Amino acid sequence: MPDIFDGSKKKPSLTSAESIQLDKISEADDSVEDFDLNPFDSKNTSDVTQPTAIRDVDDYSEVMRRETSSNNSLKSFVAKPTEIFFDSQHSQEKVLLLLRRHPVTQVGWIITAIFLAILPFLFSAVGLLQFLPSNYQFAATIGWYLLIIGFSLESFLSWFYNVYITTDERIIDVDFYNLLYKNISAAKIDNIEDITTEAGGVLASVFNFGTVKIQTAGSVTEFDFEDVPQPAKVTAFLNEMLLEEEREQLENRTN
Amino acid sequence: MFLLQSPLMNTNGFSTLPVGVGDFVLLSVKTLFIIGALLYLVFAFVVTRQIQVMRSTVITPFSTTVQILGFVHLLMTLAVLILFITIL
Repeated sequence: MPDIFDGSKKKPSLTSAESIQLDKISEADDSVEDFDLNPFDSKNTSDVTQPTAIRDVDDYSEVMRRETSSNNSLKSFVAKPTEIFFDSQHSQEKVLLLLRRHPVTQVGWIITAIFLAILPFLFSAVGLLQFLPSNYQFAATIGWYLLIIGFSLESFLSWFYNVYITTDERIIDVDFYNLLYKNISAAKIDNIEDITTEAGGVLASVFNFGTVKIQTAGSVTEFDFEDVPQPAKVTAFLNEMLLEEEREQLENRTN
Repeated sequence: MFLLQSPLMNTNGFSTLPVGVGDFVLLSVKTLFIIGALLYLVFAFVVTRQIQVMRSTVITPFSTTVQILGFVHLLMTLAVLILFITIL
């Protein structure tokens, strides 16, 4: 039987150089055991996919990079607002774009209000209310103007609160149909399946507004951003958002 | 215009109406004005409430101004109602 299988025999003693080499090998083994293979550990930066911080919209959106931040809430295209929020907004969620109907679409009720406002002058010119005493004529005029104010206020509110919001997570459609009915729908960006732009008519062509139709996978299957300004730009931005969502999922980033 | 000038009225107003009939017509008109103003007051109140709800739904720097507009509208309606009761 060879000596190597004989355990009773004493091991040959090592020289000092050999023992130092063995210590080094042992230390190297220990360091390998200590190496943490957790891909989310910031120490391991060599060849493991890293979760990076949530990026700013300007980093991935060409459309938003060209837009300046605005807080004018009376505009119909408000990019990167810092003082506009909504009630179901998450703490980390940022409003990136707020849209309303183009102001040109509101000309109809404005002209109607102006026409109604000059109507009492026409009535007095033809003496339509002459059969009433003067205090009744005065009351009728005051009541008439109050109705016009109410009509204008209601029309303005319908425009002002009928908004389409795009955040870095969702699209939200706030519909303020009338005083007694409102509807708020939301869909996650990664649920968007198809985006269509529709623009037709002389006014839409001249003033560059149209409807952006967004098909989604969810309970609400279609979102219509009606008569919004610069529909091509809105579509391009939504496509950039979709790409960013896909990139986030690939890079295992949370948002 | 001709239709509005019923057989009880002429272009000089109610002065030629039989005594009592003119008062009755004016009282009816006054009642209609006041009922209309009351209904409008309800509408103005609903507008104010709706602005408050929408203000919490979409929060913008202009929301305060919109709410002030709603309150001014409500106050104007109240003033008109008082005016109708007073002058008619």
